[in-house]
Amino acid sequence: MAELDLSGVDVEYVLKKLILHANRLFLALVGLAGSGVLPGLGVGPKDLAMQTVLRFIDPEDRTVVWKKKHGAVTTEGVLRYLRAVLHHDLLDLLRLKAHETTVVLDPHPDGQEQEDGTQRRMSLDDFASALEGPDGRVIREERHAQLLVRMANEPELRDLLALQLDPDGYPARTNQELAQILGISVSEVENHKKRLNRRLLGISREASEDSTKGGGCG
Amino acid sequence: MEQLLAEAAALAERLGESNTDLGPGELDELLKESGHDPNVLRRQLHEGAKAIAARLGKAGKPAPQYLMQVIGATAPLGEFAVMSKKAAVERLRELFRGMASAAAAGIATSSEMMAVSRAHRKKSQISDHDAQLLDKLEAELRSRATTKKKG
Repeated sequence: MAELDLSGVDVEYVLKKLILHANRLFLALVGLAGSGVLPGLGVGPKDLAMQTVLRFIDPEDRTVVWKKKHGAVTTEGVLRYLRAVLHHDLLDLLRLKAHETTVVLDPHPDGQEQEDGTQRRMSLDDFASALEGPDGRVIREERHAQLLVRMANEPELRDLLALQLDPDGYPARTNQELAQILGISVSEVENHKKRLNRRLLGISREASEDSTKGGGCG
Repeated sequence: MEQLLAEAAALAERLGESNTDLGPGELDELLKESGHDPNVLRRQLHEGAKAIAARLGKAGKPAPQYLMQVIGATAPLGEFAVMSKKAAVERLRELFRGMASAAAAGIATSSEMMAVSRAHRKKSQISDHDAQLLDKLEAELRSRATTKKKG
């Protein structure tokens, strides 16, 4: 079999995009299950992305191997493949830690956990099952409210995020539709989206810092 | 659990839709805002790749060409100073090949790379033949980048 040729692939670019992608995945997990889900994982988005790339270029790691079916070896192609690998790794990690990771069901309104131990908790495994059950929508709305409360000082971003999180908004609304709903121009929507993106990355950073502190409950 | 992750992935995609088609500058800016220093990431990738090559070497196994490509592509610019002329020219060829394919893929190229090649020209560290080769590659790259911009 011909040896892999990465001369047309910007591996550094792939790593950086993969880190941003992992950041968003972790943030979305926080949006769904609360920040308590991350410390149990014991690994942050950057480490997960870096491990994925290093396994890809390690000839002795046979779990991440470029195959003919993946098509031409391009930067975008490699990024697409490694995203899928990262998803699998994160799923394995979640499964592995599901029993020992606890999710707080009714966290404090400011997103912090109460210290008196009065919260109801359940394992991540049970939480994932509950999301698929009849209470799933209510749980999601509670979680989204936790994320929105962190935008309280930036109402224009909070309103935009609320629309992005709205389960009735799938598939995603266009900028034109968002502009009509929010009563602002399309260029303002684009501008707010960029600001929101940066704000969410900041939240993601805080969450991933939690995840690398270790510990099994949250 | 698959459902939870699938939902998280869909939400992540939705929240990050403005992250597509990012140039290196914008990408680095976003990484900084998410708490990652792009230079540190590049160095860590380089060190990680070198550690793999070292492990292979220790076991008496040759490092594959693609691993050496990654090590070369992520090497600190200071490493040029200690390279042989032949290795530096080969490295520059790799950089230009990478830049050309990045331009063809619509990914903005690094002005840093261009500056490195010029630095070597100024120091007359390359032969006339290699200088012509670099000129040709640079012209080709600029032409592709211009075409892409117009298109």
